[in-house]
Amino acid sequence: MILIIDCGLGNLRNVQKVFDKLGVKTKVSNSIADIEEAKAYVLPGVGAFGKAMETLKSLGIIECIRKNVLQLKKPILGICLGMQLLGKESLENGFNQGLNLIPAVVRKLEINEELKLPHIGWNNIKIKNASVLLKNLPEDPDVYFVHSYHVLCDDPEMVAATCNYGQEFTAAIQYNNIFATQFHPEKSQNYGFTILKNFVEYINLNKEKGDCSSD
Amino acid sequence: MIAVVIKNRIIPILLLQDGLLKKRINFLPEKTRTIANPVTIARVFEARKTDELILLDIGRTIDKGDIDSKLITQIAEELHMPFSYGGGIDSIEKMTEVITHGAEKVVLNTAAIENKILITKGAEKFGSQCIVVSIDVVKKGNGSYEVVTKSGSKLTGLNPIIFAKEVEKLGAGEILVNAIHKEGTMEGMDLELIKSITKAVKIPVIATGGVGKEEDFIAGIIEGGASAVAAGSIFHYTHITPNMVKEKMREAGIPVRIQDPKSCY
Repeated sequence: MILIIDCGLGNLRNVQKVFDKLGVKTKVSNSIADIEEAKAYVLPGVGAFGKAMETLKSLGIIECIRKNVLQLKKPILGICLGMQLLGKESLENGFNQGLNLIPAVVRKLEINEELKLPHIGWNNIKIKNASVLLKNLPEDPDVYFVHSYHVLCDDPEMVAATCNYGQEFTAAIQYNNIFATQFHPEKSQNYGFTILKNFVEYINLNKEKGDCSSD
Repeated sequence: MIAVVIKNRIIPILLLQDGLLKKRINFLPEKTRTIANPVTIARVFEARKTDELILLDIGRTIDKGDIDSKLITQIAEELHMPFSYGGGIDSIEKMTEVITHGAEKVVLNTAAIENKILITKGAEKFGSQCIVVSIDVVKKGNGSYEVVTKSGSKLTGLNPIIFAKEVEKLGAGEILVNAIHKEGTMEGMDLELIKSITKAVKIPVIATGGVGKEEDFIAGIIEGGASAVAAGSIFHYTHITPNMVKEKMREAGIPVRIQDPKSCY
């Protein structure tokens, strides 16, 4: 079961229905028991960084997520705000600590007067480092973005794809078993479907490997 | 490096009433007709890989009725693209309801005028990208513009430019400008109005009202300065599809998204 972590904001059904189409079992929850049981996670997100972290904190699930992702190496996919939450910290509405799963920080897009914020709409991404998340896609697929902040990675090797909106920023990440997209694959029609399918394939492969090593 | 600019969007607007898809002219109830089942049409636009949809329930003004969340869910199930929903949203609770049932953004109209704090509260809770303020405008006899509300039935005395600036300041993420005197006429957009709003604000402006041919979209973007153009009649009544429009836009040098063009006309 893939657990779609409920931070109390936004629509989780939009993500879930794509997995339904892929024939993958998912559950929307934020309980410790479900986090322990799940084989992988999706951390979606709409809304503000501070509020989402506050919710995760009050649920008392941060350490549980960290243990499962960092020690047990369960795959996780952060989407939009979910990608930002994976980082160390954000400056959205003041300083807030993140889940600290990846060496990266969240900053506001620095763009010139001509461009509008938030960055809303379809934009092309450029695939940088070959990631299993972005296989079977054209070199510059267009995907759907809605955000004002972006993730600044410490290590350029983590950056799976970039996008340019006034400045070049990280559009997708792969860092070991941790994946993230700043755009919304669940809203990006065919290309988004491919990305979520790739994530599922990685989980299945990862699980097989995991099963072998535990024998 | 060549600066990449965000794609300009083409957004079909679906008007709902009593669970049916409607189309009207100049906001007049007597010039409103039934088009189709909205779920079927949502499916068509999904198959055509449209950029985005806007759903406005014109039967749910804030004076009456609850939100038809079941219909929102039914439509959301068909779509893998962003869509906005408006009609009868007058509280954070209703915004939450609409979003949890699958809409990406909420559209505020009457509530944005009568209860402005809702724009700010909504932006704080969901982020400003979630809050679209729809500004309905009429052109008066003397050529000046005025914001109207309650499905176009009530003059507000507000100047659209001043009001647009105000809602931007309050936290709106997008503005949908509808020229009521053009709505449903298919005789071309009010470019003067659109330009005055896009010049006044930094947030994206979706222009609508009066689109009747492919060139009207191009004018709305190039001359009007809109980030997106939304339209109903042209997609309901003519052979023109969003992708046909975007082919023309691309020829005109406008950045557009055409996903898998062979399969989605």
